[in-house]
Amino acid sequence: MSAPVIWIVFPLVVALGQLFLLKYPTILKLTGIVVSLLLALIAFFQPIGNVLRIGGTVLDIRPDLQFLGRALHLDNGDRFILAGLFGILFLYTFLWNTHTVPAKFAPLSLAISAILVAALAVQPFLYAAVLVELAVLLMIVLVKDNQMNQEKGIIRFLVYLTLAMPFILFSGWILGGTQASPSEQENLLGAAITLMIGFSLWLAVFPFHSWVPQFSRAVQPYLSGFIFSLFPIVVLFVAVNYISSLVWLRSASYLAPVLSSTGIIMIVTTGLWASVERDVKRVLGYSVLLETGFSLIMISFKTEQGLTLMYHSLFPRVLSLALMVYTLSILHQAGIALTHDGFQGVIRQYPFAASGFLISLFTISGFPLFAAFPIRLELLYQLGHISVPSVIWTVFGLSGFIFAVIRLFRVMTLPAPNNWRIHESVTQVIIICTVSLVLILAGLFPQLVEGIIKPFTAELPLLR
Amino acid sequence: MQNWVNYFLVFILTAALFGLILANTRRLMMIAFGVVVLMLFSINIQFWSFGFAASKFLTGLMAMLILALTPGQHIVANTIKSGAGRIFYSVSFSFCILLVLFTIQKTTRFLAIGQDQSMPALLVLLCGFILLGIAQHPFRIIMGLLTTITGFEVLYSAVEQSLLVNGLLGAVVLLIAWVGSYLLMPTTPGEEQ
Repeated sequence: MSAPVIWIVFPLVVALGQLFLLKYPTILKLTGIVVSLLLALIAFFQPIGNVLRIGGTVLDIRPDLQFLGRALHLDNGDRFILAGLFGILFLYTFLWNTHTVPAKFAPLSLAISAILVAALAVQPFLYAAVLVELAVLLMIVLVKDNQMNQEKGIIRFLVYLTLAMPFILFSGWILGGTQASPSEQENLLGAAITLMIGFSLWLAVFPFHSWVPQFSRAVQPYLSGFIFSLFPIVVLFVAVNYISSLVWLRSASYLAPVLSSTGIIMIVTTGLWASVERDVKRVLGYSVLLETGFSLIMISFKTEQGLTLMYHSLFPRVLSLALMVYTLSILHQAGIALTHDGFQGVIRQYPFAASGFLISLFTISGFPLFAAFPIRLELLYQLGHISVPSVIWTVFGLSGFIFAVIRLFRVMTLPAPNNWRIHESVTQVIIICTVSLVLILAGLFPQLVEGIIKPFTAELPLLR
Repeated sequence: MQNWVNYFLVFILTAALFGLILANTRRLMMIAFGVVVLMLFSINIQFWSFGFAASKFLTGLMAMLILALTPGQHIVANTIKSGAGRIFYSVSFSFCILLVLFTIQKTTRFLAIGQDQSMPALLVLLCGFILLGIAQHPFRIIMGLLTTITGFEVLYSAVEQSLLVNGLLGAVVLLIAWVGSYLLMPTTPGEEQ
């Protein structure tokens, strides 16, 4: 059996089977949890290329699968992203409230994950563009809600992400016909520009970022959170894989300044917009943009430390986003408007959900004692070695976001006529407390998370 | 151009693209898109195998049909209310035509394909970009997306002959039409947020 069969074909088959069980959300949830957890654990513990023993059955996990003359290749370097991707799927399936989020979430989320894994695995790379597009189209089916007038946000999402496909395909074609020789520099530059535009559209990099807040506003927070947790991370991995496989691109003198400048612009603009934003759903979108900005800066270092830092930053990023959308979903479900006006004094009615939401925002903004703090600090330290003005601009942008968080904190803790009362269920309280505790512990003991992640990141591509 | 008849076909294609941009109703847009797909087929068949050209043609027609069958409002002209709007759209597309005409030699050299295919493909691509850039009505935006992908498909299929990529691109076109149709379905009345 090959690795692509386990992490691509198997979840696709399960997703197909789940389509026949849409009337039974509990069964869907259970199968989703089991399958995603199983796939994440296999990726975590089982080296690809070795033999997997399940009872008396022995499976030889090969890295390749041939499909219509093309290869799907997954090796040990992909285990980190596989474990992470199915871990995210497990987290969101586990937190899935079957009463508020439609049953189609189970099969579609599994199919989307499998297709995104296929995009990571496919060779040659240019096919990834088409596979990502297929995943994007499934995401639209996932988020479309017949009871909400949400076309604008979703259509913008569709347009921006679809336009990326021609750019990536076109750059693949230019590179296919170009040899890395000095006489082809003009073509290589053309390929680099089209490639960067394509990835910028996928990652919502400035100036192609406007769909993110619109999309997060139009869609249920839980579903947008799932997409924002999964999609940008996969695209970042595709981008790093691609850059590391092209010697001329990773050694290009313009790559680092372009990436770091774009990252800083994203952080500054996001900070400014977030500081004046009154819609909480849009703040969710800005958090994603902020994280992407930081990731771009980390890639721009083109050092082992920079890339390792980016891989480590994914843990607090995913966990804080999951906590944010989970708490927002609780408040949304309770009929609270997700705006500054609706959030006034909300901590008195939903103390755990409100605190969990604030903890997630504190983590994203890199507050001391929270999981992202050591990462932000290390990033600023490394950036300071390259350019001090860049550090000042980054801190300026981050301050804007921190200002937005403080505004929300103030609004949520405003005195209200109601007395303190807990409206959350016991399960919700346990989940919020556990995730919050993990975020705080990861901030207090960063070596703990590093120790778990390090063996995996050692095999990931580094831009040397 | 290699064949004189292609001048005539490109002329009809350009007229249809003007129609696509200026159309007021869903039906007129469908007819214009149908003509565009037909003209592209008539040109492509001279350079590609019949099966390959026909598959692209059928994909375009099926995408059009999927959108045409979507229930909902049939007037899509809420963005072109005035004569000035029409003039703005026409002038924008005229500039695109000029851009294509002035750059066609260089583009053709770069892509290593004939003007017969590159010129109509670029016109369709730019018309799609105009629709995407200016239109506000969801139906027009979906049509813009389909038009852009259709134009890109001609350029890309001319340079990349891989059947798998082209098959997947065809599937993407159909899925975009299907997802577009799904998005255009009217929301449940009285429960809009």
